[in-house]
Parts: sequence; structure tokens; C-alpha cells
Amino acid sequence: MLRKVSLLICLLALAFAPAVAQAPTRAQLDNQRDLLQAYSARLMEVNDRYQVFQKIVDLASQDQIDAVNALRISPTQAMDLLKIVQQNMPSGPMDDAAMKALQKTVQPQMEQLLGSDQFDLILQLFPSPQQKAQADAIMAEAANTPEGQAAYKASQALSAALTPDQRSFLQPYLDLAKAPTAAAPEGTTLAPSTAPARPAVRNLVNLRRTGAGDFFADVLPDQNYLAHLPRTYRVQGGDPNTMSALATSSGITVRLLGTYEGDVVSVANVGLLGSPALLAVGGSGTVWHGKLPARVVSANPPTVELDAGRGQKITATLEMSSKEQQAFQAAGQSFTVEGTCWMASDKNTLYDVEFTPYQAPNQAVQAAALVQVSEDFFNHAANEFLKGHKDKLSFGGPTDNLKFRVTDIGLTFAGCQPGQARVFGMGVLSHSGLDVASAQVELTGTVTFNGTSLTLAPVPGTLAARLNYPVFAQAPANWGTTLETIMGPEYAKGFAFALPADYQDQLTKTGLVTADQINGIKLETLPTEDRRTALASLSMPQAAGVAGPATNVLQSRIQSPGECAVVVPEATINNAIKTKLPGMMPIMIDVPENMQEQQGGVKFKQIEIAELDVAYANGAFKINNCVLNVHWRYGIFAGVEPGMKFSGSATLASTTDNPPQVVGRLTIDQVTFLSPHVLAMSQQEQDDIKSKLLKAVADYNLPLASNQKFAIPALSDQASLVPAGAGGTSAPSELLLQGRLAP
Amino acid sequence: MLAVTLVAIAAGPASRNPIPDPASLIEADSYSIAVVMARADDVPIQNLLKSALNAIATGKAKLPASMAQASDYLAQNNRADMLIDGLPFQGVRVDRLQASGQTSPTYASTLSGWRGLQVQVYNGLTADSAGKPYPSTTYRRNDIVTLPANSDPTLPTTVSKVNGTFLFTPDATETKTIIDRLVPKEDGKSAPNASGALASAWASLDKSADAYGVAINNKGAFSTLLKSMNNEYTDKVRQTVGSDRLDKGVAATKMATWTVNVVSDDRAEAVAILKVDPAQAADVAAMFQEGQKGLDATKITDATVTQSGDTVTIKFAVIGLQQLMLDMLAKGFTGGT
Repeated sequence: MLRKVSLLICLLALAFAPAVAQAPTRAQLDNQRDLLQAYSARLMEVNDRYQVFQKIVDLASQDQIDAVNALRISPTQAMDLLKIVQQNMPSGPMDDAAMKALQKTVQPQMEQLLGSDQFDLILQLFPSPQQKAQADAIMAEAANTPEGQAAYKASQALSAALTPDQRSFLQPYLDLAKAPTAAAPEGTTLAPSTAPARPAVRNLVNLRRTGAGDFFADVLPDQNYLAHLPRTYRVQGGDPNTMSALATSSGITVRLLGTYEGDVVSVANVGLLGSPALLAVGGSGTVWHGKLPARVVSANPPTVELDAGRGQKITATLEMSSKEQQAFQAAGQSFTVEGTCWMASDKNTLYDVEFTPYQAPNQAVQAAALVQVSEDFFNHAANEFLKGHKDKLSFGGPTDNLKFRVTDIGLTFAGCQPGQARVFGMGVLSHSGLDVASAQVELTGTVTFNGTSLTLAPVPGTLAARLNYPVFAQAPANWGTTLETIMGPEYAKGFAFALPADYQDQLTKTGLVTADQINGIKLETLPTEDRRTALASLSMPQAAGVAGPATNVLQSRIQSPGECAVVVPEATINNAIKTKLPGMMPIMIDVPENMQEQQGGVKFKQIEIAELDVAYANGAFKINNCVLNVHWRYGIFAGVEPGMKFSGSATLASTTDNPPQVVGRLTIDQVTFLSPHVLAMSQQEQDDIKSKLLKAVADYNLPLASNQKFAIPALSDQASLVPAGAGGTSAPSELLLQGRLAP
Repeated sequence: MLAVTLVAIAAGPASRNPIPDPASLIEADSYSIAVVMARADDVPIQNLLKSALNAIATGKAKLPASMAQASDYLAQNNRADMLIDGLPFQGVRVDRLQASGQTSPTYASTLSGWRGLQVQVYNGLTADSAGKPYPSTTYRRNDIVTLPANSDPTLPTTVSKVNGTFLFTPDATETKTIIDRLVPKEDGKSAPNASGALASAWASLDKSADAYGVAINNKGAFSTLLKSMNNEYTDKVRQTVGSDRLDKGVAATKMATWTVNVVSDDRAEAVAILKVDPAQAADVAAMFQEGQKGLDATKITDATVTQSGDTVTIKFAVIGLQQLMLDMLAKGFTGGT
């Protein structure tokens, strides 16, 4: 039944059909890509000027609109629909008989999957013959406009460059541009629309010129820390000679003054006054655009220290217009500054600056421990997940014409409310080697932790989808809302990331934390606009009866890009010492084999810590008293002998190895020998031993068991969390452990 | 492209097709209204539909081309449950008299459920076999499609789908009038129904039967209609009762109301009540008594005619109901009543 559904299945089948023709060369693909972008840009010009797409959408009947709103296809069902077509693909040629057999198999499965009611709703969406005729008439009118004729010309050029397989696949898209007719159809309704002018801003973009002579400006997240996904603008206006001289096919980084709207940047016409609209950023070094907290370190030349988050500080000199200088003087000594920074080997320079007041984040919580995670840690994890789940996030094998792959997934807090995160993904559809479309999807969700899983519950109205290649086209906001409704409860309930089932048991068995504390873990986020300074902070509530200063959970303890940090406040450590240490005494430490042999054949087998009075303060373990005994062996004889007592301090530190090792370091302030053998020696000999002992202790890095890797199979087979450093801070007094993902 | 874009449009809540008020089809000069109502909880109706589906599935009955896809699907999957899920169904026919003396009907067919399947039917009705759309105009977001010219004046010339109801009318003006009554404007108000003799008669009609209706002899409508009905059935009756007598009896009838109830999957029982000039009532009753002899006994049975004052009551049963329904479907939606 149902010719239209059959047509849909036929199109899907053709798309999935095995490749039989020779693949295009790299040069051919580059040319095809340029022509596809050129054609798409021309279509956008038609649409921008005459609102063709909206006019076609307006043809929808109320019944069709109602059907869209009643449609419920969960994300799982959507994937299953694709799988049904894939799994039932015949192995032989896709002739009529094979196609009919496919339809016969697939249609009942589709109905079974969606349910009769939902399947019926899909049928309601098919346009009537009159709607199709009206849409054709609108397209025919568009074809007679100058922009429409340019689009048609571009479609012909693209068509000629495609292989037969590609052309067959793209034919419906190519057909959007019609050949102009001799006379305009009756009742022409198309009229140019004009948008209100917006102020020009200078942004950091990658300006490139295609082989078809079009200019595009890409905002790239690698350079622009205020963006989390790439965005491409068609460049309109500007001096073609200057742009041609600057731009190449791979692009050049420029600071472009223009009006950024939709998929178009209109280059500002600055005339003879002011800086040119296009300013190239050249030479060796790196450049970025961002918005960071800053403090003035010098008024002349105006110089600021930027806090780039994750332990990174950047000192930069500001290059400002007179207007910017006035704003700088009015901004005070600390502020947030947005701008483009050129980092050369000898000097960092900040351009295009804009100042806003800065308030340091402060969220005071009675926390037993804290885990802080940077945005780039999350994005590293997301892309590790992508690597580990390629098969689930892509389709199309080596012999298939049509391939889809997810190229990027990630998370950002930019533009979110506290406690929310935005997850995003980008995928590319290609046919016979040619990327035909790239789309981005993102949604904002409220993140909660319930002790066993981390849940992202979508915030209604935040789902957004857009095309970013061959042109940028953002779907209207209400489309996202409709899509959320269509995806129904499965989407609305959110996405849960379960933690390993036994992790709670393992933690509670240590006696350091209780299940209630784990279940009470709270998530806070610092949603800064610049991705470098944003972070998420998981804080575990302090145990009952443990007092200590509140912890500012939003103050970043992350030391390096891509890292996370575990923070243990002083009160928690001292509580652990108080409750756990007595039960651990005496502590026996095995002496390493190579250090056991002593003068005269005596072997020191173990060191016994018989007494220990220790507390954590000012970022270090203060050892007020530690009494050591020595377990020795000599031939068949063995015994225990008093060793010494000492006071001092111990800290955690990381080595400069790659990867760094977390080690313990001991500093002895005062030592008293208790060994009768040592005490029998002369004072000189005792001083000599003491001196050697202090030096040996000072030089010794005690390797810690925490240097092990923690595999994270949920991300990928190779992914693991590895220690990246350790240390303590005195204000606030905390123990810090840094981690990062490997590889 | 349009199909894809439709997936992303927002608007009000979705629902099953509403069943329109049949009175919205009545005009001031209308003389007849007939309604067929199939309710989902009516067991005899359910049985009738199951039997009809079986007839389609076994090839005993063929539906028109516009319904081919839907009927194939229903038959292929033997989905009687789907048919019943689509209920209620309402078919309405309202007639007016043209100056030429020919009747001019307006039809409205509404199936509450399976709107998607109905789209396929509608799309089939509004284009020729090659898929070329018939000409149309748009009125308040509703397409009014002009059907191919037909020599039979009792067939409609336009079709449109209003709130899910298939509306067939003699002309676009009538369609617009009905759209204004069925679809509220921006102020939330709909145009009022027309008043008149038929509307008054309709208001006092019992509407609980499976089929019911009323016809008034407005300006000699019955006689005019009888003249236009030159078919084998009226010829048989004429031959049986006599042509003059029939014309006289019809002219003397002022109003007729009727109810039909389906009592099994093959039998419906009908009652027609005629209001007749008292002087002619006895003869009209006698005429119907004699006229029933000319009826097809394979379709009509158990007929009785009684007279009381100006009222003549005719009762009969329709048998072979399944075939009758399939025959109507085979004629398309316009034969629905």
C-alpha cells in the first residue's frame, strides 16, 4: 500500500545501495565540494531574498500541522527505523523486484515499530497534489528571479561535476533550482524581503576562497573559545581584490569587521575612516578569541594578566582604539575582557577588547570532598567515547555509497544556567566520497547526580538543529520544540550515565565515606562564556559531626588543560586520621629488598610505626610525633628494636617525569634515636647518622599506589584515568590530586 | 521537500476528525437531509464492517481506484479492528432544487480515525490517474478542488477536506459557506447555520438511529424530484400503481421522515413516516401497499403500510446489507447516503 511510503523506502534503499562505480579523485571531490557550496549559497540567496522556504512551509494544512504535533517517534524508534531498512537490504541488485520485496518486508515492520496510530500520522504528512503544485509554482517563480537564475546555473555546474551515482542521489536537491521560464507564472507573489541592519562587530574567522570563487568565513572552536561548534558564514560585500589577495582554499585567519546574521557576514564598509574591515593575523604564534577574567598589571603600556582557567595565566598587552582606552580606564583594576589575543614568542597582544565587570565565582559548601572537571576534560572523554563507539555512531561500510559518521560530540556550559550543561554533536553525510551535508544538534539539560548515575534531563525548548555544510541553516526554534514533542517521553526523561555498580561499596568499605554522603553528592557548574574557565564541580557533603570551613566549590583547582581535580579539605583528612588511624596502628612498612642489608649482615626487614600523631594543616601532614621500631633479621635470629622518634611534615607531590608520578615527600624537623646500638655510639657518630638520614629522607620520593591507571571501558577499550599530579594548598588547606584521560 | 518540512511545524493539538453538525450543510431552500451514522460501539455495525472487509479481502467486492491503496492495506492485513477503530463515521447528504428542476446535492463524509489513510484517498480524488492535480482555489487554508466536468448534475463539482470531513458540493461558493460554518474565524466564531423549513424539521428529528433524515415538500420539490428520477425503480412503481396516481400521491405528501437501524450484519429495519394531505392519506397508504409489489424482494422485505389520520407509516427491512454497502462504496464517497 501507500505509494508515498514506498517512495520513501525506495529512496532509502537507493542510498544504502552498494557502490559500483569508481570513486572520484581527491581533486574531483574538492571541485564537487566547492560547486556544492556555491549552489547551496545561491539557493540561500534566493531564500533570503524571497522567503521561499517559509512560503512553502505556509502551504501546510491544519491537518498536517496537527499530525506533526501528534507524532511520537522516540530516538530509539528513529534508529530502529533506519536499522529496519539496513537489515532488510537485499544483497543483489536493486531492481524493481528487489525493491518490491523490500517494501513488502519493511512496511509491516515500520507499522509494528511505530504502532498503527503513529504510522497513520506519518501518512497524513504527505502533501496533496494541490500543495505540490503550489510549491512547484513558488519554485517556478523563484526560478525567474536573478538569484534563481544564478542558482540554476550553479546547479547545472554542480550536476556536470557529479558522478552518475552522486547525481542520482542529489537530484531532488538539484531540482530545487528550476530553469527559468519565458514568462513568470500568474499571480507572482514573491517580493524581496529586507532585514533590519545590525551593528558590525569584529570577529576572529578563517577566511577562505573556494575554487568556484565564493568566500566563506568560518568561526572555529579551536580559535574561538566562545564557540563550541564551527559555524560558516557566506561573505558578502568587502573589497574582492583584498579578499582574493588574502584568502586561500584552506583559509587565513583574519579579524573581520562585519554584521554576522544567519549564514551571512556582511563586511562592514568603513570607508576611509577607522581600521580596515579585514585585518590579517599573520606570523608565527597562536591566536584565539575569548573572554577571560583579567587584572591590570601595568597601566602603561596597558597590560593585563588573564586567567585562562585550568591553572593558566597569560600576560598580554592591550592594543586599543581611543574608545577602547576610555573603556579600559573606566573598568578598574579587575574585570572580564573579551578580545582576540595574538600570542607570539616574545609578546602577547590583545585586540578588539570589550570590558565587563567581573565577580569571582563563590559557592560555599560544607564539602567532604570535591571533584572538579574542566570542559576540555569532558570533551576529551566525549571524543574518546566517539572513538570507542564508532560502529554505533555511524553507518555505511567501505562498499556503501552512503555513509554517515558522527564527527564530534561534546559538552559545554556556555550560555547555560548553573546546574545545566549543553551537549552537542555533529555528523557528516557523504555519498561516494563527497560530503553532502553536515549537521549539528545540541540541547541543554539539567544535570543531576543521584548516587548511582549522572542524569541529563533536557530543558524544554532547548533542542536545536542546524545544517552547517554546505551552508549554515538554523532550524527555527519552534521546530526544535516540535521535535522534542515528537520524541516524546523517552527524550524528556533524559539520558542517564550509570556509574559502575560496585563503586559505592568500594568507597564505603574504606570507612572514609558513607552511602548517605555519596547519595548526597551535589553538582554545581560554573557556566562562563569562555570554554576554558568553565567547570563542573561534584561535592560530597561533609560527614555528620565534622566541622570545618566551607569550601568554595566553584574556585578552580584544575591545574592544567584537560585535567580534573580531586580536592580533599583539611577537615575531611583530619576526620579520617582521627577515626581510622588508631585502628591501623601499628603500621608495618616493608623495607625494599635493596635497602635491607646493613653493615655486618643484619637485615632490616620492616619498619614499624608504633606511634603516630599526625594532622593535616596548611596543605601538609604535620607529624607531631612518630615512633619507629625496626624489625631485623640476622641469620636464624630476628627481633624488634627501638629505632627513633621524629617530628616533621609530609606532603604529596608529583615528579617531573612524563607521565608524572605522584609521590610522598617527608621532611624531618627533629629526630631522636631510640636504638641502643646508635645511642651507644659517640655523639659525632650519631650526628653523622642523623645528617645522612635527613638527607636520605629529603631526597627520597615515596612512590604511591595511587599511580595506577583506572580503566574506563564505558568510554573505550583504551581509555583510562591516570594521575597527573598531586599537592596541597595552604589557603584553603586542601589536598589536591590531578587526573587526566589517556590516551 | 514539503513532506520533510512539514515534520517540523508547530501548532495546536492533534485529534481525530470531529463529526460535524449535519445542519451546517442545510441552506434556507434545502428540501432534504439524510444522515448515516456508524458508531464504534454498535455491534451490528461492527459485524457489518467485518463482513465487508472479508468481501474486499476475498475479492468479492471492488472499491474505486481512489480507495485502492487503503483497501489493499486493510485487506492485506485483514484489519477489521482498524476499520472499527476508525469509527464513528457520518455521511450526510443535503439536497436543494435547481431552477432546472434537478436536485443538487451536497455531501459530507466524515471518518473520525485513520486520517493518514484518508489523506491517501483524498490525494487520489484530487488528481488524475497520472497524478496531475485538478485545479483548485484556496479559501481560509482549505483547498477547494474542482472535479472534472460530469454530465450528471447530481454529482458534485468540487471536493475539499474541511476539518477532516470530505465535502462535496455543487460549487465553490457553497463550499465556502460551509467552511465558514465549520471552521471558526480568528475571533473564534463560526458563521451560523441557515434557518428555514428544513432546518426546523431537522431540529425536531430523532437522531439516535443508524440512518435518519427528513424531506419536506418545499415548493413542489417531491414532484420535481420524482420527474427527475427516471430510472428502472421509479418506472416499476409507476407501472404498478399508475403514473397519475403516483404523481398525485407524491404531491399530496408534505413531509417525510425516516429512521433506519442496522440490526445484524445483513439486515436493517426502516421506518418512514409521511405527513400527507388528510384527504389523500388513505389513497397514499393504499398506493404504497400496492407499490411494494414492485420492489426487489431480494433487497426489501417485511414491508407494512399503515395509515392514521394524515400520517402514513411505512415499515420495511433491507436485506443483503453488506452488498448494498459495498455497492455504495464502489460508487465512491458521493454515493454514501
